[in-house]
Amino acid sequence: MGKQYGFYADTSRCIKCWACEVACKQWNGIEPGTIARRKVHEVDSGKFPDTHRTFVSMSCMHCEKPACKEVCPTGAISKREEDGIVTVDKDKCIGCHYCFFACPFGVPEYTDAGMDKCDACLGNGVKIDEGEMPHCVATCPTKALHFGPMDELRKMQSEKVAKEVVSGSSKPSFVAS
Amino acid sequence: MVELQDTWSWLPAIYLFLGGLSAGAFLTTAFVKLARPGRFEKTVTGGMWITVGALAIGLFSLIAEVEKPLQAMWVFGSFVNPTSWMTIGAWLLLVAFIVFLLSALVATKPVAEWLSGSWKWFGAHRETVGKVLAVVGIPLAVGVAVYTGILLGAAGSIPLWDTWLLPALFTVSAFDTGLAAVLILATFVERDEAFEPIRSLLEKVVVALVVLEGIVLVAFVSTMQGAGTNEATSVGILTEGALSVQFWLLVVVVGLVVPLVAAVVQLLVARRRVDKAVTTALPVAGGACALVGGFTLRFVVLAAGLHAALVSPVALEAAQGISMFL
Repeated sequence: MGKQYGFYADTSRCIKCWACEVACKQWNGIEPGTIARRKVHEVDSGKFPDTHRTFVSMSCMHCEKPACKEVCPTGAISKREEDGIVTVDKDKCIGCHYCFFACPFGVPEYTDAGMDKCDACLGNGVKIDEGEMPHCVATCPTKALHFGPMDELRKMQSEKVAKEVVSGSSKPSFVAS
Repeated sequence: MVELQDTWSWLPAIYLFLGGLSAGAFLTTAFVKLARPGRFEKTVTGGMWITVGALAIGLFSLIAEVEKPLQAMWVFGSFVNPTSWMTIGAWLLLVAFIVFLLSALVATKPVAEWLSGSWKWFGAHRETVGKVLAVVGIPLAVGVAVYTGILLGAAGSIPLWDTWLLPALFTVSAFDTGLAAVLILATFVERDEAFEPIRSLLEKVVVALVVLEGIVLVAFVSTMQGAGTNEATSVGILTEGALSVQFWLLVVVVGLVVPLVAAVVQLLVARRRVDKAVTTALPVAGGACALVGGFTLRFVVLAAGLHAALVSPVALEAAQGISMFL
């Protein structure tokens, strides 16, 4: 396999402005009031008055071993050789919802057309092999969200205390700090 | 308050119930057929059509759940990924449905007589064909019953379903509900005196199955309670949460205790001559309760199947853990 691309969410920079969510919906033509391929989550920690809020922008993790792909009966989900991006062929998808139950992060959502999730903007023409960024990353005003080969992302935040989000055997391609 | 799982709700629950019932009904009917070949025609014919009808409605429910039902019905084009249990299940269900349907047609007198008239070989071998179909159908029926549990278990990220005890529980319940359906039918249609020993044997099987289901259910609940926070949260919905009334009243009392009592009482009174109303009412009431319990079991297990990411969002927790260090 070629390089594994992934996302890096720097929680020390995110201000929860939702620009990534909006850009995602806009560029991918998501109908209002339906689904969201990318979501900004908020995590509260600590006890009053010593409380802390953390924001993290998450979408499909483009796992090295996608659990969704394993369970999909129709073979609609594939993992690209060249960049490790996990994509959905909506023509093949029958919308059985089985991948939602398999994904450790509950990422897959559904419309009449079938399962819908992040494809790193490949579907709307972004050329990631030429160094172009998915629209969520390109639009992030605080540079909290990054995209690239996993080894570069790991290097990018190696000065920070970083932790890869690893769950079970699916090996998500996602880092946060 | 935890939100219930609603990505798969009523329709898959109906499939899980009717698919299991169909498998259990086929096994019971095949047993009745093979026990005394040529006898009990009404029970065998009716049992086979219960098998076919239940599976047909179950499959329609399942197909109605997906976003593109018409595309899903084209099994050859849609179910092609061999690593998915759903692919294996779809093919198993297709083959099983064909065998069940053929069994029902062969067991139906007018159909068999018409076919014998135009096809001499079949006329001479009708009984053998029926037996072969029954024998071929038995492993398929077991597969259909087990698969209802595997479908959920193989999904992977639902802690409550992630155990081999679930296929075990659904399989025992499948045999139990299918047997109950055929016994209700036999109570109304079977007039053959020779059926009595078979009935009493089947009532003993009911007792054994209910006891076994109780044991598996206890094992399932206690395993989940001890397995971890996610599992305990999910199973807590059943034992003390939003679905506790349905679980204790409909699954445990109506679905297990009542059928057990009905079967035991029936075995006891069978030795004495009692009012015919009692010998009709008991198996029907016990069986009907077993069916209610069987459906409720599928429904509550589905609804309590919380997604691991929602009960305990690993990614968010990881992000939170990091923020502590900053």
